[in-house]
Amino acid sequence: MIRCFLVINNFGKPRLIKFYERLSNEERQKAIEDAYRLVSKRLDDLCNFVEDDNLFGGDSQLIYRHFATLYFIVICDKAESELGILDLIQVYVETLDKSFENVCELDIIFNQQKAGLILDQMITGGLVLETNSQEIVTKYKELERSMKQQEKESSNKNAGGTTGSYNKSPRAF
Amino acid sequence: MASAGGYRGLHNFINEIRQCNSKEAERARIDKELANIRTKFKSDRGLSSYEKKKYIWKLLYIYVLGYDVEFGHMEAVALISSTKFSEKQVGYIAASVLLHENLEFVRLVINTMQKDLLSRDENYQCMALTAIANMGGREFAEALSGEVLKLLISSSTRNVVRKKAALCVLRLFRRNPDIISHETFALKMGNLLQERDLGVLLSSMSLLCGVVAVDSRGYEVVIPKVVAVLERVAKGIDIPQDYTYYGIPSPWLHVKALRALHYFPVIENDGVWTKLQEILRRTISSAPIDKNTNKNNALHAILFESISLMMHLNMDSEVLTQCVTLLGKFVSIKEPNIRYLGLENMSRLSLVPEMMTTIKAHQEQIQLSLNDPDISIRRRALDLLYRMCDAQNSHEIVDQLLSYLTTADFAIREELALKIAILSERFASSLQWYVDVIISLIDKAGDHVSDQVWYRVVQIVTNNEALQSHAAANVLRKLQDGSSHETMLKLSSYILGEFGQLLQGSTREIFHLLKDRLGSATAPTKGLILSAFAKILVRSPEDTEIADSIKEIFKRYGSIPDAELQQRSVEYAVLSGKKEATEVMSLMPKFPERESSLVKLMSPESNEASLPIARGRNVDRDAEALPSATQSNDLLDLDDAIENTVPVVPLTPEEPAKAGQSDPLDLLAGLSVTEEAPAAAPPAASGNNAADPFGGYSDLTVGNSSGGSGLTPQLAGGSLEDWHSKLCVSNKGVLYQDQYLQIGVKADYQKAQGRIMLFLGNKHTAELSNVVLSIPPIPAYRIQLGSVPTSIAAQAQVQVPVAVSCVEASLDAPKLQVVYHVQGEAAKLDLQMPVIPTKFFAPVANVDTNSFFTMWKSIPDAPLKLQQIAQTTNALDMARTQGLVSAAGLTVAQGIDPSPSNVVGVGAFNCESSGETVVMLRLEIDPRSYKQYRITVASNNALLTSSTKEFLVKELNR
Repeated sequence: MIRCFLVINNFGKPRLIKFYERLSNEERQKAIEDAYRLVSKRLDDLCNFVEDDNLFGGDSQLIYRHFATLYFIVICDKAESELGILDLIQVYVETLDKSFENVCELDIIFNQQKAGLILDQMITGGLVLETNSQEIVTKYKELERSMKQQEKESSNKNAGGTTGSYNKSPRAF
Repeated sequence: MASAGGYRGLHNFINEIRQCNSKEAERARIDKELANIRTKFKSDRGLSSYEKKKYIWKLLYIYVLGYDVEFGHMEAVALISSTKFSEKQVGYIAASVLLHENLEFVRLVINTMQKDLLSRDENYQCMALTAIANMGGREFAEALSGEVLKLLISSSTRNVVRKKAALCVLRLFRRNPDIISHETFALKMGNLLQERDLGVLLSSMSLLCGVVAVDSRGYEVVIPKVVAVLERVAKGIDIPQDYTYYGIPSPWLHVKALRALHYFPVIENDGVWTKLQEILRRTISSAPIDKNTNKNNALHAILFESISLMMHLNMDSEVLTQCVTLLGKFVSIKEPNIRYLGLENMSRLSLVPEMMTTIKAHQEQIQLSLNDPDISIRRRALDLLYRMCDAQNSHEIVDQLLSYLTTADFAIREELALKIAILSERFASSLQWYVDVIISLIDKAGDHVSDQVWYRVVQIVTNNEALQSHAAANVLRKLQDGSSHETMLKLSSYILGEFGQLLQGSTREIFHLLKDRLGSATAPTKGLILSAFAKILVRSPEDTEIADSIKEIFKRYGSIPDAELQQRSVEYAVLSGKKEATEVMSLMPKFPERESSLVKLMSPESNEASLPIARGRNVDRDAEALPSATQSNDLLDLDDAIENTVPVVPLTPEEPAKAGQSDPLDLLAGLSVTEEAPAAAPPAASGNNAADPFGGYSDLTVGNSSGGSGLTPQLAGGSLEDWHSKLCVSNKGVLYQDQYLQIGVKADYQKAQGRIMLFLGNKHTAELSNVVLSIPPIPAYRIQLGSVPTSIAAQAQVQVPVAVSCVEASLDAPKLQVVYHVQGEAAKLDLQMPVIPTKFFAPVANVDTNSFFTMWKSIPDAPLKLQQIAQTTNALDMARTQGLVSAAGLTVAQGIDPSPSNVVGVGAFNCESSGETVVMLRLEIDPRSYKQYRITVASNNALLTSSTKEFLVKELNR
């Protein structure tokens, strides 16, 4: 079972966190720090698996991928296939890429809801729900449509205002 | 580009946070925002839907940044109940993050969730399912499992909902296995696995894995269906393009299906078995290495899982050999992931004895991996080398590990040192080799070698004359090379003092080498060096220059503050002038031969291998002192056996007889005897079979026609006390086991209530009949025992629920009496329930220093505040101590005690008579030894204080 899915940037700032076990804030922060500590000192040409006896109360493995400025980290129990999880991270990133067009860290910072909802289409309760990237995108768009539709119906004054924008770095991963 | 979900305020907020230059600035900005949101939520002016959502998103952003968000529950709950889709969506997301422990709100949400599950809108259903699965609380399992199961099974459920329902059921099942009944669910599972949609199949397969992982019995009917799915993905039949990953039909489903089969002990249906074998053979024979990393990964994921399954199903050794050859290729491959997994899987295959020869062919390559730049790979290689070590390759592997020790990461040195110690002892081809290895080990990793190991070297060298000059020369060389580790120094002082004169003409050098290190040595080591000097002085009186220097040293140490060293020096000085000196300082007598505790720990699996040491040529072997070691302890508990560091040399001429008794090796052997006693003989024991707790009832078997072999339950795999004490700190485990019956326990405690599930498993081939369970009432607990089936069929398991309410704190624990009959003969067990006051401790969040001390001071002395000074055999380092304290149910409070070696803990004890009582603990650990400590426990209930203290002392001394 997947215990948590973390997206942390090169400086250790969490960008997306999803825990599938009930933990206190301290325990969560410790897991995030531990995960970052373990992956950040690893060079990119090493393997994508890390073991640490103290991680998440033991009996856990950490599987990660590093893309440009972000680490995508999964901590799971030993019943998951290491490579399967690695592939899952790849599918998530590819799906984000489809939904954001050249996704970069800023997209995730400013659209945590979206990144989180997409993840929810892939992993539910710590288990892989869907791996079909197309299906995930379609499902998300459907959700977005339903949300927008009602937003319009309620014709809220505030919603009409101009929303900000951010300058995307040209470098995507 | 529009962003932040279209919320301008959120966007600005994120921007502001990003502009904060320091952690403090960020904190200040966030505190301000939290205050703002709190006011907004509290204000009487109702918030608009837009505002509510905006603030919740802000809270979630703050949550991701790592801040504790402790409010907003009510708003989240309100949003979930909204009829608007977008509000509900936000509400559910907020709920799964915020609502973790708050039961009251969880109850409020459950109602709405129930409605959403029944909704005709699949989006609503999905949202509720996702939230339930992600939160996965026990309350959900109770209230909602019925609806979720209906969604999973109903024919009208759409696929998108069904797949979520499958994962949701699994999550709830893990919380409460009773939600599905084994008899009926297997068939439903079979139907689900005939689904065409690959998304639903994947979820169903995950569900199956989760269910059969707990107990696969009764689910054999699904095996053909799983194999059919396997065939479909393996051969790529009817796989939509979208479900291929780099051209490979859903590797996840493939892997899951393989994993599911892993949980069945055998596959009985011949047709299915043939088909499965064919699929597996195809997988390993067609393992290509592709250029695309992602494709490569997916192929290997399937391959590794297939290998693992083949091993589990015991396929013929020809196929397994093929697997090892394949893995051998991977081990030398450049791609690090594959190399890592190659090593890992080879380790697993090494459990199959026939595979050893093939694995050993790759030894060189595996050794190379010890120097891989990647620590993950180094760890795997180390693990594999350890497992593949045997009498033939032990020299090479141990040498390799020794040379690796110098460069190994600090994190794994301790483990490495232990592995070297074990391997060299287990596969010692000669004592000389063993002694050399251990001396090198101490030299290179003295910090990680327990005293026990060097005592062992001393014992062996003393008892084997042929080794004495060799060992002396060896340690001398180490000192010449500059070795000055404390443990090395202790060993050298002893060996050189005893046998230094065997090295002709080295006395002077020995003296100077030891003298140079005397000043910086610790007191116990100084003592050993002084003893070595005394021996040199007495045995080589002709060298007056050295004699004078030694006398000078004795004089100097004769007036230092350390009483022990002072006494020693004075006595040695006086002794050296007397004529009895040569006699007193003559060679130490041989040690009585003891079986090494290292070997003893290993003995169940390595009796033959450890022979060279156990069969030392000594005659005065004391057989009675050596009960055959039957228990296999955790290897890492090596230190347990030694209580104190005791000087190995006779201290004063007046008490030469005592020398033997203070010998630590003696202590060692003595301890293993006492260790044995409580483990094997529970209080009820009588008769000559000490392991039989039912001695008192054995007369029941007299009438048995089959002779003396009547019903004598033999404890299997542990002792009553062990099981009980493990369960005192864990909520899951074995309570009792003999050859007929196993009793497992799974418990869950909430405040003053506990729910215990007893799992009675019949291990026998016949029925266990007239099963009776009873728990005699005691005042401290109210206990309700669920219904107990009168018989348990062969190989079956029944569950008996027990509800416990804690009425008051008490030192008494409830007893569980079990009676069962095998073929008319009765066995009666008297067990202790693992129900103790600490089980009713709830964690305490945020203990602040002020309130802690106010309360601490307000509690008067005994009996409310109890203190005890005690010693442990196992060092109480911070991590271990905190682990023990939290395992006992107390929350470790950081930053309250200024001393870093002390531990403070708080727990909230719940019982019906007095509600919540706070228990406080302070542990002061002697920072020099980490073995002596003072424990203080305080609470407003004397019984609670004393039971908590007793329990902790027991745990700490373990």
